[in-house]
Amino acid sequence: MLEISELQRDYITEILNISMGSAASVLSEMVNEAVSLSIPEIDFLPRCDAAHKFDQINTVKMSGVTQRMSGAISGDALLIFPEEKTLTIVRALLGDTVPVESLTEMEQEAMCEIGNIILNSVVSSVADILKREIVSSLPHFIKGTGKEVFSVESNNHDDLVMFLKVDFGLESQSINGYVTLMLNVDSLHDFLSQLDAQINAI
Amino acid sequence: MSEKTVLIVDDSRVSRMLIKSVVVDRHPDWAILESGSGDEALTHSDEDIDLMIIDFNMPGMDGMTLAEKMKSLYPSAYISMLTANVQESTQQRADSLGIGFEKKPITEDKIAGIMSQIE
Repeated sequence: MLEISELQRDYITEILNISMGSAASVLSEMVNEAVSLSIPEIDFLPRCDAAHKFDQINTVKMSGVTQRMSGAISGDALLIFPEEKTLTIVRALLGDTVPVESLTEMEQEAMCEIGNIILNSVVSSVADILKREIVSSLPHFIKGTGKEVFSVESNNHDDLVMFLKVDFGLESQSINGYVTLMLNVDSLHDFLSQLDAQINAI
Repeated sequence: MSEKTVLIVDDSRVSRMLIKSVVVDRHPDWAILESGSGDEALTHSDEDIDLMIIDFNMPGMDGMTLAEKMKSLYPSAYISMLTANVQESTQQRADSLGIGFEKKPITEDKIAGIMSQIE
């Protein structure tokens, strides 16, 4: 079982807090209103446990965006929202410029754009901390239960999921969003070693 | 150069460590107070404080609410938000409150810039 020290957890939370803050700033410009963010809650779980836990706390279907990471770390980055909220997000993004009947067909494209911004912000922050390059694939739109969403893009069920829960709030509504990084065990150990080196250098 | 007192308020221990290391490096004689939350920071309000570096996104009281309270308690102290919440609206709130605003991530230059306000 992977042990995460209090300082490692603190540092990871802070890295993700900064990256989500930066992503929220861009999102705020896109939707033209203030975006509030909760403190990130972080958990580390095997991929299959994460999918199970996800289905326990979310009875509705989810949709979101995934990007494959390679380079300094290997794995998948996912941004997930309750499916029922995606049209709200798309509406916030596109405003009244698109008629209601066209929203659904714009859903994938708009979600990919939001996912691209948020996931790239998270991945870039991790890469900056590691001082190494992480390459992200183009975003893919996904839909399904936790089990379906978490098995996307990989058959490696031994991967560990760095599970980050952040509540997004627009002025009008609150939206629970999840960002997860699914890393293979070697990548995660490498990541934690880099963090230790940096903490020890303070 | 007289000794000063700095209050660092951030729920992240690593962030407090980073800020503190820059302050100590530049001014080993300065006193440093640390708090992990807004409520804890207010317990220091009977002390003389010259500079406050405050995070925005914290459990319980947010940094802007704390800064507002501290501003009335310490009108002559220099207060700066140091935050990951880099949205225009947050910066505008800091401006209207008359406090500094600096974006995370924490760097030596950013902390030095904040410190220069009271040096």
